[in-house]
Amino acid sequence: MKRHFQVKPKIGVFSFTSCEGCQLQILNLEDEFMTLIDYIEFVNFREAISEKGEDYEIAFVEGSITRESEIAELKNIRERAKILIALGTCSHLGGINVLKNFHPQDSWLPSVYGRKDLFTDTIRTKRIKDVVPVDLVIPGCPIDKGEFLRFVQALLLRIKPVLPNYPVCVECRTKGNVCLVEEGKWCLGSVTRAGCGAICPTYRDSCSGCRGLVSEPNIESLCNILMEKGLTKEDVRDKFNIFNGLETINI
Amino acid sequence: MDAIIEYRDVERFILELLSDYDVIAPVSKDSHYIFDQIDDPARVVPIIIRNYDTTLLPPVKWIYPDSEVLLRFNINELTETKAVTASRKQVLAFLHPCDINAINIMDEILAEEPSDLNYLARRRPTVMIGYDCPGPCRENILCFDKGYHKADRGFDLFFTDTGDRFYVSTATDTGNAIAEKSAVLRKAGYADKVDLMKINWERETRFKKSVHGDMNRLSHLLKESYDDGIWDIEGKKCLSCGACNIVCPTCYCFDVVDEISPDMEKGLRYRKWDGCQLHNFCETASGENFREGIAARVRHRIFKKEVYLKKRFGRSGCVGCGRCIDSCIAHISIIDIFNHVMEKARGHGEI
Repeated sequence: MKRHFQVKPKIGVFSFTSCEGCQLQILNLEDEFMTLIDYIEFVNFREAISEKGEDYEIAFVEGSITRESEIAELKNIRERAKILIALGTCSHLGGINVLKNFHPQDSWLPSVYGRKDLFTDTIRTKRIKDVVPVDLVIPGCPIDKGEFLRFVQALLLRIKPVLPNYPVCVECRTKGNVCLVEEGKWCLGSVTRAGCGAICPTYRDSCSGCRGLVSEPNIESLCNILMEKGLTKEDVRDKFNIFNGLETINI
Repeated sequence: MDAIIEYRDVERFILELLSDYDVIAPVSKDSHYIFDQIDDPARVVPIIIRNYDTTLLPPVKWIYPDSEVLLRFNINELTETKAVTASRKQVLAFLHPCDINAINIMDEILAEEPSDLNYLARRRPTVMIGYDCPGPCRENILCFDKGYHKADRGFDLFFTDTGDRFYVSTATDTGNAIAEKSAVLRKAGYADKVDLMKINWERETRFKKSVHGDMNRLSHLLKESYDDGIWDIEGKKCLSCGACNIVCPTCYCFDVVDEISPDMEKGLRYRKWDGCQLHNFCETASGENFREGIAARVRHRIFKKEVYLKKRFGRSGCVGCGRCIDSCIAHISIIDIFNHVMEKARGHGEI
């Protein structure tokens, strides 16, 4: 006998300042996505459907908050949703959008947009948790589509979705990769939450920490190790700022 | 039947093995070496067999994979739950003595009741071929200190380089059957056997100790050093990244995870490697973590191998392959830790 999930939970997927790549990752589930919609109903999902329903119980929110007008929109979503889930690095950590916070607005606005006065509605980048309470986080730039699927399944089964709390090194070493740091390169994999399958180091690119830090990162030791490789403290700070600019990291 | 094989015939020998077995052998990867499944026998070349140092991951991975299914279940019908084991006829080829000894240790640990059925199912049909490394392969090793630089059992066939060909010792019926069936192995003569003795004697003289002190006292001295300052010093360096656990040929701890199919019907229960250096390793369902603090975890790894396993099985659970030292970007070295406790004991006039 097949278990019947009596009511299909209604789901909204929303986007703030981001590339919308995390929404695309959901669609990249492809065949699995078609199976998934037997169990859940998307009522608002800009990359996938035209409808703009407001009767959702679960909201997945991608993107960071970089405009005043986004704050009210996000608060409105929070009021309607029973469960609000941050989707991807921009909403979880602020993402690369935080880079602008480190420079005065006047210094980058003309070079990015040409005419200053066109985009006056821009504020310092916030994580969504800086604006509303967040129940769960699916980290990553972009998110791992398998992790999204596991989160939805966990919610259907009414169990708590769990993220790995071990660093990327576990997945990287398990794959039998040669360690980038051993090769003299920088890598934040040893303090970054796993779950990505160490995809960047597997393709010989350094981990920039898009999934955020593990719960007890040994930043001081990693900093010493990277300084042995020739990086300065400022260099290490810059590496963390790529995705973790708003996190408290004492270097 | 002890035998001789010419270098040029190794490829042919692998081809013969491939007709009955999957073959796993050392190959090069990015200036390092790995054990890999061989489809093309030309990938197995004498120059790699003769020169490879310790591989990134130990060969035991092919008996105890990083992830394997334990149960298949149906989330609607629990009566459909089935325990699963997997096995295949495979040859692990050209294993160094340290890695053979490591598998011997794993055999002992995992055969203890209640035995690990998944491990044993893969282990039983596995044929092991050893290769005698001609001397120390790297700097950070302590196989000689532990006597694990030689293997006296655990293999079916054992290759020794004579400088221009391989001497092949047979140790089991399976090994004998493979040797006798092969068209490229010829029977070793009296002169070959004399040669082998000379090679083995010379080999023994090439190893040097890395730890200065009596290794028989190590377990005791570590226990004396339970509250030593070294654990805090090493704990400050440790990233809790688990690299040492993952590359260790005798680490066998695992975590259990379930995966449900997208149609919400079928489920798989896996085990996957876990490691005592990871923060959540000792976290219980209540949230209590009974080995919190990095220093305590660093100490535990050393004590597990040198004190707890030694107490249970009468010998060290570390074969001295040095993978944990080479893989530690924070430069935590069991050689340095062992030398520290030996040095301290010497200072106290204990040894």
